[in-house]
Amino acid sequence: MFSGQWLLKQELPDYIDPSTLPAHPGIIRRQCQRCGNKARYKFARFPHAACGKKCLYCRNCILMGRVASCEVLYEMPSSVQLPIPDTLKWEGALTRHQQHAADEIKNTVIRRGQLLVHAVCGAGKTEMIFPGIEAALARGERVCIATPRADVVRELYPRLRQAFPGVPAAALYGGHSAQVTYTPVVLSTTHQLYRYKQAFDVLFIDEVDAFPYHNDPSLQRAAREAAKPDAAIIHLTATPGRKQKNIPKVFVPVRYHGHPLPVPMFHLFPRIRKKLPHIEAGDRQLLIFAPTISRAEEIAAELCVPHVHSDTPEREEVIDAFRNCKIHTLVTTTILERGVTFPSVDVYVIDAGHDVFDEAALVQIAGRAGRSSDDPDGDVRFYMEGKTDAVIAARDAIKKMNKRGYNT
Amino acid sequence: MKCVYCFQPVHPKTDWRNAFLPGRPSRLCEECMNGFEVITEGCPRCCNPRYSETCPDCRHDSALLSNTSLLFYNDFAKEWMARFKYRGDYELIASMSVFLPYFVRGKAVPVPLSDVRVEERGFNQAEAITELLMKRPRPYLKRSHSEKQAKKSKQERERGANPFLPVQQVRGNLLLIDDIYTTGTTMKQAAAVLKENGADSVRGLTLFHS
Repeated sequence: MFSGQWLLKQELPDYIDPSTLPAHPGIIRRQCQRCGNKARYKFARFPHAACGKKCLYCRNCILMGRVASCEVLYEMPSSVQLPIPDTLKWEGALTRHQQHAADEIKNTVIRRGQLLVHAVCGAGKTEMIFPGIEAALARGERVCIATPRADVVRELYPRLRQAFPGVPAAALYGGHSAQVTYTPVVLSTTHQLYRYKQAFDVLFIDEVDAFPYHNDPSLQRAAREAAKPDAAIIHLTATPGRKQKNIPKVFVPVRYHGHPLPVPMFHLFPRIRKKLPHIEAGDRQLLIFAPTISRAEEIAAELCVPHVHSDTPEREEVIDAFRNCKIHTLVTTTILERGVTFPSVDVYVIDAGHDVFDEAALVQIAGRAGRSSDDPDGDVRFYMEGKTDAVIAARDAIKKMNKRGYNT
Repeated sequence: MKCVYCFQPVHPKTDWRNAFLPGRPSRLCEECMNGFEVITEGCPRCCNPRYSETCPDCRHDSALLSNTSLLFYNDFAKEWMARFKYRGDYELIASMSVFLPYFVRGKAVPVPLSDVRVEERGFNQAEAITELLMKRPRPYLKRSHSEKQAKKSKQERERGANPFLPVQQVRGNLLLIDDIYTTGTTMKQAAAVLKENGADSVRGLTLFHS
């Protein structure tokens, strides 16, 4: 796992002698060599006891340890990876649309270059990348699947282990303990890519348009640097933004079970900012989205149900409990808007007109419903003060995708 | 100007208090500022915010005359401290300037770190606070290397040998400066050594009180 990373002295494993490794200066010409940060306000000086001078350090990636101008980053050597044939043990079948996208992905892996896979929510993106990973492993290449969300990493990891039982894989996200051996498959958050330099032959970036990756140039640079110069880079998303316009694209308009996306229903509710509409519990589990953390707490208190947001300490346990149907209703913020799968849920959005719910977020939220083939429908309700452009655009986008799926 | 902690832009507000004379410059945005809780009432000797009278720890005499702590060590402060001390984000100390008193009496003695710890962190956090107070740090103490206090229980801390060694004879009223006051053992041990070597009185100043 360490191989291909650039590490600080204190991050090196104990059994490695630093003098045997190639070293790179931490900061060159006011640019952090780990995260590529150039912004002046994200650099500062501190009186360094080791060299007695005021040394420059990078504050952009400080949470991964301090990169200072007088210190070096050690490059961990890359191991030789042998081709591993016949690794895919997944036995499901791909639909016609999925197969088409999977072939395109495989071609890109072999031919190199970039590809954007635009697949509707619940199209089975994860399954579509399996043949591509298998092809890469058979050629002896190293694969990374990166995503901006730690929750997605946690969910993807067991599915990947199931599909590729014989292949060592590592899951990296903040606060997670590191594994030491070399792994041909790395699953990581985009932040962890800061440490990798020219390490991967194939890089999948899941949910490219998600916060914080979509508007953070330093993360995008990190992804470019983590891949080798001639790597295949495959972007996956359900709601491509404007930035991905010039990349060759493959579109998967139908969900894997063939049913259309649930179209959101609008409920105008003038006092939504203050009061809750009457919410009755149906047969399905209920996922309620709130615009802000404080509003999520209020709603959860009023309905006497649990809530999760980015600062919840026991976030993983609550999400797991909801996935295992131990909780009937869950209130959440936009952290659960994408990448997570619950088999059968209704989705209500409280105050859908709020600024945090842009078109992409609303399309993703609507896509949480009806993801299993046993129960392909789900109620998607937007409660709001009044219609906004984002709400209408989201509904139109869903209708358009449904239309495209059934005319081809 | 950007917030020193979260990098969001800071919008300074104008009101009657700073319309004619500029107030204290704050490097924090309003949201981060509200994350910290200022200690307004506590034990008169050690500022323990859980007591309003002398707390049980302070009932017996010690070399430390009194201690002033400025902020409560809440979850926000813990995160701040992790980034400042353990990740080594020295610049964050600037965010404390609004909470510090304008003037404090006494010769400033930052609580020293052992050489191993200084090499690991790159700087001494107590010296950073001293510098922010615009006081001259006086190197009156040395510290032998021991396990981190944060990893020990209260009994272990009190039973442990005094890690501080005097460097020279001292005079006058001293002010011990540290980042956090937990059980007070560190401060009391340092104060005892200073007292034995000629200090008239030793008071303490820490940023946080847990």
